[in-house]
Amino acid sequence: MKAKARHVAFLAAVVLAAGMMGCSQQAIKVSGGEETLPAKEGSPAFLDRLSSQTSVSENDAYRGVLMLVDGEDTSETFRERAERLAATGTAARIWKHDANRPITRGKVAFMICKICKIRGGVIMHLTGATQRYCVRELQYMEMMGPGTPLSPVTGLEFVALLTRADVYRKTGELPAIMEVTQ
Amino acid sequence: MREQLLIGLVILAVAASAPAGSEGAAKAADKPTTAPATTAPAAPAAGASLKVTVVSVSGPAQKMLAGDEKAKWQALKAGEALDEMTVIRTGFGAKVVLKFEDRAVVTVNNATKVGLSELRKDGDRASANIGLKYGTVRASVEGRQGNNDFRVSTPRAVLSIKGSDTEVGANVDSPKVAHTYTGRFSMTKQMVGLGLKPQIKQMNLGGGQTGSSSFIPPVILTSTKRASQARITNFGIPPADVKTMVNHTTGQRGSGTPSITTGNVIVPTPPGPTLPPGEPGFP
Repeated sequence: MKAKARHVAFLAAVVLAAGMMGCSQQAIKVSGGEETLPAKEGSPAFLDRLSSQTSVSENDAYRGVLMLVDGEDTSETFRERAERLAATGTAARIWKHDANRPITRGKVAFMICKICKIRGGVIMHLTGATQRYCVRELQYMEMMGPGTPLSPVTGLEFVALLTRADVYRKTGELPAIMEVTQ
Repeated sequence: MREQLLIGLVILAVAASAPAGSEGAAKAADKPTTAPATTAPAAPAAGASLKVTVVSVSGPAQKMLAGDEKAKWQALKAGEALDEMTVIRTGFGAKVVLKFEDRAVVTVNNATKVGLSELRKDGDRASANIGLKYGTVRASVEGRQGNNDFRVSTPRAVLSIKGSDTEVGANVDSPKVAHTYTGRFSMTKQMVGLGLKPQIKQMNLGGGQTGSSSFIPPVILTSTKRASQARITNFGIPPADVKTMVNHTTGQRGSGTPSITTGNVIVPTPPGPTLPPGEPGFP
C-alpha cells in the first residue's frame, strides 16, 4: 500500500514536472515572423528613422528594446526578436506578436518596466506586471505621458520613452528636463 | 473721374502684388522642402565663422553635412572641427561634447539629434543656432567673454542663452523645454490660447528654474492649423526633419486625431518681466 502510494506520488510529480516544462516552452504566437528590418542599423540611425514615423511597428519596437538592453540587435527576423524578448521575460509569451501591427503603450510600458526592473506598487506586487498597471506606474514616475494602454505611440514618443529608460537604467532616476509633467 | 479710377486700380494692383504676410508664411510653413536643402552651405554673410570642435565622444555618434545631398552619415570623432549645417545624432548611452571656441561648451546627450547653423563671430560677438529635433543638450555659455547670442531651437520654443548653464530638451511628450542650472536665459515660446491664435510669450528665467511650453491638447492645435501664421526657420537640420517636426510637434496622437501642424516662430526677444526667485517658470 505504501509502495503504491509512493508510485502514485512519483508519477504525479513526473506529470507535473512535464507539464511545467511544457508551459515554459510554450511556443509564442508570431505573425509576420519573417519580416526583416534594415541590417547593421546602429542606434543613432534607428532612433533617427523612428523619429520620422507616425507609428511604431512591433518589429521596430522590439529592435529598439534589444538595442537598449544589448547595445545592438543581431536578430535577422521578427520571430527571432520576439523569441529573444520572450525568453528573458521582457515580452510576455502570451502576447500575439505581430510584426506589422503598431505597438501599444501598454506593451511598451510592460517592456520598459521589465528592463528597468520597476516593480511598482501594491497592485503590481500582488498581480505581477500587467500592461495596465505598467502604464500607470510609468505615468506616476513621469516617464510616460497620458494615454491608455491600447493606444499606439508615435515614433517621437517611442524615442522619448526609450531615452528615459536608457537614463533610468544607468542612473536610477530621471533628470528634471526629461520628466513628463502632467 | 477716370483718372481717379485708374489711380485706384494701380494702387490695388501694387497692393495685391506685395508679398502676403500670413498666407505667405503659412504656405512657406506647408512647404518646408523649398528651403535650400540641396544647395551647399552658404558662406557666412558677415564676420568670421565660429569654430566648433569636438572635445570628446563616447558611445555611438554620427555626423553629416545637411546641405550636401550626397553626404553620408559618418562616425563622429574627437578632435575634429565641424562646419556649419552639420547634423549630429547620438544613440543609446552616447555623449558628445562640443566646444564653440572660448564661448560655449555644448553637451549632446544620448538619443539626440541636433543641427548647427549660423555659426558667426563678428568682433566680440559670437552667435550660433542649434536646432534640436529630439533629445537633450546642455549648453554652458560663458557670458564674460563677450556678447553672445546662442540660440537653441526646439519645436516648442526658442531659447536665447546669453551666459548660463542650461539644459534644453525636445522630448515630444513633455512640456518641459529648458532647465537652467546657473545664470539666466530668455525663452520665446509659442502658446495657444482659447482664441486659437499663436501667442508668443517671452520669459526670463533664473538659476534652478524650469521653463515649459504649454502642453496643447490636439483638439486646439487642429483648429489653429488653419489660422496658424507660423513660419519655419532653418534649424540647421535637413528639411525632411523640419517637416517632421512641423507635422508631429506634439508627437502624440489620439484615436482619429489628424496630424498636427505648428511652427516655431522666432521673434526678437523683448525684455520681459523677471520672475521672482522660487516662482515656477510656467504661468
